[in-house]
Amino acid sequence: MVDLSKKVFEKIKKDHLTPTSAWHYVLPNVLKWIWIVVVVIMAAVSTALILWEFQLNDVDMNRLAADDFWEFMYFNVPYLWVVLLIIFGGLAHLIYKYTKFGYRHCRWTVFTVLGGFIVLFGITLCVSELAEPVDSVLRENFSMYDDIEVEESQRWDMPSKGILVGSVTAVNDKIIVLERLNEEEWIVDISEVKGDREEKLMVGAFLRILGNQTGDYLFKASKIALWKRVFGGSRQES
Amino acid sequence: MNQVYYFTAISGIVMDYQNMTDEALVKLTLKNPEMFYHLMQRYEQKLLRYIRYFSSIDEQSAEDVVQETFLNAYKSLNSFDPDMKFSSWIYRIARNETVDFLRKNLNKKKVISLESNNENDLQLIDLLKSDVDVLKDVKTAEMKNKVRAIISAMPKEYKEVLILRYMEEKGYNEIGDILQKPSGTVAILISRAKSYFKDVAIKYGLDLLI
Repeated sequence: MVDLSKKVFEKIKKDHLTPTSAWHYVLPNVLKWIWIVVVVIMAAVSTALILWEFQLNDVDMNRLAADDFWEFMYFNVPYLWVVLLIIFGGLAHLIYKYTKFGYRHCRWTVFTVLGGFIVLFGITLCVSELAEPVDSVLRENFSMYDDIEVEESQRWDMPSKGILVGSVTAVNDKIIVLERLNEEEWIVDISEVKGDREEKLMVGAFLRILGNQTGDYLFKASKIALWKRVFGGSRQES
Repeated sequence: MNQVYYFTAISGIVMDYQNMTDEALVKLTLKNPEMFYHLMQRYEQKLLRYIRYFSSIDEQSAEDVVQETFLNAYKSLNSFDPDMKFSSWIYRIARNETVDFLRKNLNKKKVISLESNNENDLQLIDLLKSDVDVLKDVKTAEMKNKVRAIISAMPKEYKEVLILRYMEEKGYNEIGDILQKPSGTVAILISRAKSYFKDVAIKYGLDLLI
């Protein structure tokens, strides 16, 4: 019988073979873990923004404004962040499976642990009030993100259908002056609006208003909700 | 006592390789390549047997695969992580090399007929008998042929886990490390493989204990 060990050993000596450097193996694994940390943070930020948008969401108002179920869902679900959460969560899962011992855990264990961590981290970010600054930074630095938000707001800006969106420029007990996205100023009668009004009726607040158009640049509000943000200065200047 | 001991002096210390763990030998190999010879000797026959059971390739090809396995293992010795057993690591390399060999030689007639691999399958039959609780006795030539045919026709993933579990006597975690699957999946595969074996054995009309 051939002594394979001897044969291989002689080849190693003859060809001066040496083991590949440890870094060659360590580095890719370290990079994978860095990627996992990055995408988990991104997924947690997405979760925080979803929760933050839900906090500002007014389901009743959305129900009144939506024409059908799909539009109602569109108003309620922060789809951009849901999609990003799925992408980042999926990426974290995928990269983990390709780490050194990633194969040792079954799909559902990895899904549950990573998902649980992302949700907890996301809740922490949201509770720490970090979601809104992140949203502002994204709006200021990524025009595409801002455009999506504007487009979403524009769906609400239809006075003839009884929905109005804009920022408050002046306020008193009975009326507010609202600057719409197209920079038109509207007088809104808020005398019949009930509930907590203090936070909503501040100069600079960005509002969604349900009601009826009563004339040119005149609107009578029945319900008011805060929109998730005030548009940035650059857009207002334009 | 017939046991053979290998002693060598490294840095003034007398080493007893025979009683050293694989993992300790790996560490020594990184300092002194000659130590790799002892590791290869430990696994040469085991890997030859495993590759032949697993792939049913001829002896010469199996030797080629083992050589490639050892060369690759030596070159990637720094990738070995003591969190897993060395045996699992080298079996994994051997498996990957075998799969690679089979892929490259798919159209060449190097793979011999599974039915002709008598000794390997018969050994697996004996081991399965004790665990599967299906067969009363596999003594007649006709029955042996039937059982061999069942094993040969088994899906590769079933045959593979049965070989690792019963012939190579690996635990679920070790098999998981070799196949790069969670140990729970390995347990399911083994259970399915045994069920498959039972079901097909019944169809072949083999005597059952049930």
